[in-house]
Amino acid sequence: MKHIKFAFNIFNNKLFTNFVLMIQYSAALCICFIMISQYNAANEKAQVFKGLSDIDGGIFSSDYFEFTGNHVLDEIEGNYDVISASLFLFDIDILAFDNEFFSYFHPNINQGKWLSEVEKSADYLPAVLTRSVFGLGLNDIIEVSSRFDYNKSVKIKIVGIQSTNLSIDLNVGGTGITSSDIVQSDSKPRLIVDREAAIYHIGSDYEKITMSSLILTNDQETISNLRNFGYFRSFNEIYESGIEDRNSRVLFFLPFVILLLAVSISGLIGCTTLAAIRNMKKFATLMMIGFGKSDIAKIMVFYLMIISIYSSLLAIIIYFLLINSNIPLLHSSSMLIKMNSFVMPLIFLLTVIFTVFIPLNILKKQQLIEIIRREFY
Amino acid sequence: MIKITNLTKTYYSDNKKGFKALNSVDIEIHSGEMLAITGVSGSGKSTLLHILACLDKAYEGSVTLDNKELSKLSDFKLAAIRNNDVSIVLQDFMLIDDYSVFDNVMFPLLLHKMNRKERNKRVYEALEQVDMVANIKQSANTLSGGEKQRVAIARAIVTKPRYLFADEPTGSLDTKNTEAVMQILEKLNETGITVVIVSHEKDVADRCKRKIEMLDGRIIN
Ligand SMILES: Nc1ncnc2c1ncn2[C@@H]1O[C@H](COP(=O)(O)OP(=O)(O)O)[C@@H](O)[C@H]1O
Ligand SMILES: [Mg+2]
Repeated sequence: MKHIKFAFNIFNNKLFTNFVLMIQYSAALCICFIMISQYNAANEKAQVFKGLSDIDGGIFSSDYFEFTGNHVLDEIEGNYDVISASLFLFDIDILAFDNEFFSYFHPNINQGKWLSEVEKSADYLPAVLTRSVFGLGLNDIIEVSSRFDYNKSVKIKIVGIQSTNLSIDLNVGGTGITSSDIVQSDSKPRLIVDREAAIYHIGSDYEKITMSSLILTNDQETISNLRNFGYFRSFNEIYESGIEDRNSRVLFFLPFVILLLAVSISGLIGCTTLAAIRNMKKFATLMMIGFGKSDIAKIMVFYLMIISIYSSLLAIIIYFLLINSNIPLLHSSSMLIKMNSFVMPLIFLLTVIFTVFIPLNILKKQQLIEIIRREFY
Repeated sequence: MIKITNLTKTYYSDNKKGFKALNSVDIEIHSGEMLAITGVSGSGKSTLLHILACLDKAYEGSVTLDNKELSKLSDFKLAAIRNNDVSIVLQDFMLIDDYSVFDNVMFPLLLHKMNRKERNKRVYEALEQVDMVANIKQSANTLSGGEKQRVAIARAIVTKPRYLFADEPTGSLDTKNTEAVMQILEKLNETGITVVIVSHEKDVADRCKRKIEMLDGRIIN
């Protein structure tokens, strides 16, 4: 407590300088948070495809909205297996995958169960919700009508909710993966179902290839046909592009992070060194009445901690304002707590170690009696 | 008891041969004494006092305080002695300006295990001894020289040390304040504290029961 008391005294003595320092440091921290969460978001997306990268196959999407029965595909039919289907309804999107696929793809479930653990039912179609925010909850039953047959309605029961909101999105040609964060506010609920069950409940619509599909094939000619006809990317390509995306995000932010951290840490070093020199008289007085050098070192460390803690709080506030501010670049940067709980103490520690090194060395080299003679005679 | 034998202190500056500020000094200071060290400026009085007050352990010869050889103690132990057994008062008061009188006197007690109530009581008692209770809330930088020196003395005695060293305690005070400070030091000595005063003022030195005069780092009588 006594050290903190003196640390606050030193902090308050140069309030304005400390405030400038804190702004600098929190800017550095904030951009660092953003970088890390961008890394995390992109990495998590890429990892969805990591398990699939060994499979021969990929995502195929056509340039045409309705292409069922197209002759090009007819020609190569039999050379590939379609293992997915998607149904985009007015209120919800339903993605269906073959059982086979589920042995590769098994998202983390937050509530309820994953599809392979649920019994088949004649009354409803079991589905896993990719995120829990749509006013939908576990065990809710929703009724939808098929896009193809409006008279037919299907009951869908939510048996599980994913812990992350990532899903394999068959509608996006780009990466094939999406985080619902991208369309956070106005996106529709996305449900994952078993294709066999979907065929049973919704009907033969689900047997056909849809606009985008997961396709299994090891025939190179078929793949090149698919590439010519529409858009095809192998699971491995998708995984690699995900990793590339992740790395390029980090590379984009890294120079800013390094620059800002360098600027703010040198500022901190300068100021703590100055604080140590300026407060030498005070420190000598404290030592004269019995404080040890370690007490003085603790005061300096606490002084730095005060700046760091205030800066981090500021950084967290700014960060939350930024990610809620509709800046497109920052949309997927929401996973703050999980990753920063590890990174923040690390940055803290490094900053304190770096910053306190010079002033503590200065203090260490000073003989108490020399300070007293210099300052008080 | 303090026993100084063959004490030599050499200052090495500017790569010169070294300057002996103290040269083979022998003194015994008995418990409960009130001792004055006099001498012209530059004779080594402050140097001696700093060694006694555990501020400087780089010396040759022997200085024992209650049979402990000071140069052999760690910085940590010396700090503990400064906090518990010895206190020093300087001409330039050494108060921490941006704190109140209360805080300044209380600081040494921060290193003691005691509760707030006990601590407040000790601060109050110390300030009573120097007649500064009325100024308890005042900020240190608003005090006059005489008041500052009284607060510095209160801070020195708040830990109930057995030795009190004062380096020119009246050096920057007028006669009225000098008298007040001397009376306080005399009263403290009466309570059993060993008091050592460094002063080149004859009036001040004459009030002590024993006097030592120094010249060029040696005791001359
Ligand atoms: N750090 C130092 N380096 C070199 N010489 C010093 C140092 N401190 C004191 N001295 C010299 O030591 C001598 C004794 O100083 P001091 O003990 O302060 O004398 P006094 O208190 O009797 O005036 C003086 O000549 C002074 O110049
Ligand atoms: Mg002197």
